[in-house]
Amino acid sequence: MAVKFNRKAQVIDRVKDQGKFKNMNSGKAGEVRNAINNHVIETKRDFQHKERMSGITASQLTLTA
Amino acid sequence: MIEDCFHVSSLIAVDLLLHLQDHIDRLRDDVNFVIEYPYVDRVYRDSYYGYFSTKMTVYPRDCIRLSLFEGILDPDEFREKLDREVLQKRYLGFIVLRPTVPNIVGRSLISPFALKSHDFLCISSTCPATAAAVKVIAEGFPHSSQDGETISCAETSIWSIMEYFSSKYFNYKPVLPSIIIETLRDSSNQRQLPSGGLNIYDMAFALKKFGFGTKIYAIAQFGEVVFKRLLSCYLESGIPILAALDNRGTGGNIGHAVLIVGRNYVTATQIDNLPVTIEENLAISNELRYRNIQLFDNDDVNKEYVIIDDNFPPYQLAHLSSPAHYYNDIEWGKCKITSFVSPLYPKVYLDAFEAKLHIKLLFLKVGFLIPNGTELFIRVFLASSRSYKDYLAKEAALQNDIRDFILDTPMPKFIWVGEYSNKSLMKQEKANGLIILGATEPDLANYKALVFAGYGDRCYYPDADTKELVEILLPLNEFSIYSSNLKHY
Repeated sequence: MAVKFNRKAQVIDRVKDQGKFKNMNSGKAGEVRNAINNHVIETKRDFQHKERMSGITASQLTLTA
Repeated sequence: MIEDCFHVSSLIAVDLLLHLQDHIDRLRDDVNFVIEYPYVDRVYRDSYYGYFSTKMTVYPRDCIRLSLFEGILDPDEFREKLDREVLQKRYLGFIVLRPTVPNIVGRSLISPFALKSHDFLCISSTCPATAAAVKVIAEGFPHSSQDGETISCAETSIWSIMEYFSSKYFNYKPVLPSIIIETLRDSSNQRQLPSGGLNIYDMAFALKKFGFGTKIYAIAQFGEVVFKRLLSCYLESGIPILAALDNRGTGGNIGHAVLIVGRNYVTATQIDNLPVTIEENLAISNELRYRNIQLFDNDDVNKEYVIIDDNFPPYQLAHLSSPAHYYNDIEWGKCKITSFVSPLYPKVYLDAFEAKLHIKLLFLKVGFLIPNGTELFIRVFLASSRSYKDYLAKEAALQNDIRDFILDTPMPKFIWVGEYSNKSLMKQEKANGLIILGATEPDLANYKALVFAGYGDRCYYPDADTKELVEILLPLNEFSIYSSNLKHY
């Protein structure tokens, strides 16, 4: 007997039937997404700066001890 | 026996035994040995044929192997009275002694259970071995002392990492000293034998050549606090860290490479004493202050780390503030970890620094109802989706629908997991919030990396078609934290 696992779809159908499902594409959700995206850009810039620094900041000392 | 096998005087043999005593003294009193000679060790033979045999001085080519067993041994247990299951249970690993005086401790794989003190968590691998011709499986983290001529601390650490990964994942192969030398031949400015050591870039380059997506982190890049958090985060991910330590900051000339492979067990007192995390990212710190949320970071816990140091027996314990304290030497005591290499799976494009920030930001911004004044404890780690799903399938405390939902969600091979809880829950090793990011997506905009987020009475996930966020009102419940990355001994 084959057992088909498709429980994710069943869960989504059930929460839709119960009215517990909401697509977050309203104006407020857009604001949240934009806030997150802006922060992502800032974090990326900060990280890339640190990445560029790595070439001159990691010690080139030979490890022998 | 050392005198005869390694062709040394009785005086030198006594010195070697004293050196070996440091290793033996750490073992439990009920550990007994099966001693075998001649033993052909592949690592020493590689050094022998590539270097030692080319000298005029005659070096023996055979080694001695000590197999460790719990309890008194009877030779008949390996023959007439052989019970493989019982023997395997009593087997605690092996130590190879090679004729490279004075550093005779070669390849070893010792189970932490063989030690008098083993209350720590660490990464470990298994290796098939034999003892008195009987097949057994050794478990532990690969260790060797440097011979000082073909392998220094740097090469030993690379060898050790490759031994570990090759025994766990088919993508990687074990390497021998000659392969490390060959790999770095074209990038080396000077002769490689006798070994003059390697710098952090050489080590990262070699590991990259051996199949890793290596990343170097330097304390000067991130500052001490974030640097230590990143190291802790990778270790919690079950990744052995190749750390470079030196005392140049105090005018010294020591440079050393060690592996960090585990940590001590975090006690309830350590969690109680953990201060609120100092968040350097302005957007997150402002959000925390504005909403009066107290955030505690698991990576801030002042832990002792398990260190594999080729100058000492395996599994040394040290705080990051004094990583070489066990040398009992003033100059070594001044050593600090200044950079580390994280040997990542090549397709882990999202690094710990960005993943952690994004997990914090999503949690605070995405729409969870977090009352003002809430105490949050965060734990972030990398896990393979295979192991994580296996853990979820067994985790009965998680709400059933949520569990089915996550298990049926496609994930990349590696995922970043953020578990949220509070101090009280963390002391019970439980969490009540979860964020999963795909580790193959470094573009974090528009929820591209988000796989799942859940806390309190609701969960979020990006819709596969519209890519917009979807909210479902299902409670996550409390669940046991994921603990498969490090094994508790």
